[in-house]
Amino acid sequence: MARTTIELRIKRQDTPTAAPYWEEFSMPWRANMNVISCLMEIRKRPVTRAGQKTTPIAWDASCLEEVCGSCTMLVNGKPCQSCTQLVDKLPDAPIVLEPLTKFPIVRDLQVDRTRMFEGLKQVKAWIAIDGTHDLGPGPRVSESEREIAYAFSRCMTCGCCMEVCPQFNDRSDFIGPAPLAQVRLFNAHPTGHMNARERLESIMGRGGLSECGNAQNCVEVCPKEIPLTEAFGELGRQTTGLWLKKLFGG
Amino acid sequence: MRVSDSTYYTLKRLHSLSGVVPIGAFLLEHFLTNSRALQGAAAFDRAAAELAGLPYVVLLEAGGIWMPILFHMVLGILIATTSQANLDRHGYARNWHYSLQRFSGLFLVLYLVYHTWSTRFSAEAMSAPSLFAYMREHLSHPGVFAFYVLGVIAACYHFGNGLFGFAIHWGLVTSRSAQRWAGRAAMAVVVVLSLVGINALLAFTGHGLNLFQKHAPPPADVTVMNASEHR
Ligand code: SF4
Ligand code: SF4
Ligand code: FES
Repeated sequence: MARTTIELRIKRQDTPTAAPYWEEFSMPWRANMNVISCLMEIRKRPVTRAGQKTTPIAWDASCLEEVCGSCTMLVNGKPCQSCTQLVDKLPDAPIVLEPLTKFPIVRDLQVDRTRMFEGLKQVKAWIAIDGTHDLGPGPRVSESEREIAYAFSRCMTCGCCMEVCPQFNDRSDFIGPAPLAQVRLFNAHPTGHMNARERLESIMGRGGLSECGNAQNCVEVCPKEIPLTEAFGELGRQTTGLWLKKLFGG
Repeated sequence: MRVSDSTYYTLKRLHSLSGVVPIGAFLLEHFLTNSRALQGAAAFDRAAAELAGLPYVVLLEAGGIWMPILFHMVLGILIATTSQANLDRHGYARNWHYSLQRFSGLFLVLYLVYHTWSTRFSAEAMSAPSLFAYMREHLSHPGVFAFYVLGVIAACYHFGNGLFGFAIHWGLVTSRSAQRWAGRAAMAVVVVLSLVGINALLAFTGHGLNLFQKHAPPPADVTVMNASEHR
């Protein structure tokens, strides 16, 4: 049965430390709505289903086309981008919206994903060039490697993979799947390769690669279909090599 | 206790390695020896005596079995505490394996404490003239038997599925399809080993199946203590 109204149940929280609470909203159905357009409707008229006036809901969004990752939240318990989550693709039942659970809450559906960006800094997820003089064109990359690199470069630090990873939580220092995959990306780049050892060393300590427990949830949910677990296998091979080299004096 | 980052990595590597060699290797040896029970009481008792009489046996046991198991256990428990299982929200197949790996590991701690105590250090085991007779008696309690079956399955699962993790951690399999095949192979190991282990348990109660043997074994008549002449 097609829906005539859209019902939403939204988990809200006024400040980073306040207690969360639920609010329900209802609005007339229109074709092709997505979760963010529902939130925008509520912002126009912040009134709950019971007719109570309330505050507009806070959420993050930027690109509105699934490339920035900032609008990621739990929709019916699954992490996804609310800007591309079409209402008509969801079952005809109240749509449950919650903030991601693995990052500190700023307000309502907004979270602070700093931990993920810290992870990217830790692994030096960039190509080091000092920019003082023209280095000329870089080395060429084979088409097959370009294809793989492109897959990894699509990561938008949305945090879906971190959300579902059982090893990424308050009890462990795990930097999580996304930054690890970037080590794979930048180490394979001909210029980036010059800092390959540094990057590997940055994931060989506490919180690094060995924290992964192979639950492989990350690869199931990554909206960009990044081959995360292939990266872990390759990094396992590279770090094992470096470990042996260091153990036996290389 | 805080260790340096490089020591930490080494410990994690050794944790992964110790599960395969020596602990995994010991599991295979243990099952093979116990399967002697299929060939009768005397064959089993002889195999057990043979092992106990190996040169350097105390060193072999301590360095090859007890220490690695203790190390693997302690680190494994620490690792399990960093996990936040989320099967309820994300029921993917590999997530099940992830949780089961931790659960079977913790169960094995309990099982191994009971198993070593009852077969090695309890007064009954120490004074038993025949280990086979003792095991038959021990396993004749349905509760104990069931606990042993669970222990065997948990050990086989933890080892087999551990091989899958090992293959990724050490970078033996990297592509998605290789990982999928590694997962299937790991489950095959679990099933085959479990059947072997359970068959050995059954052998002690006189219900073991003699399979894949070249010579017809003597009847598994547990009352004939010197069945060895038949072989
Ligand atoms: S790897 Fe995929 S799920 Fe993880 S942050 Fe990047 S895009 Fe999102
Ligand atoms: S494979 Fe590793 S990184 Fe991915 S969800 Fe599992 S534990 Fe986390
Ligand atoms: S707003 Fe950028 S991914 Fe949704």
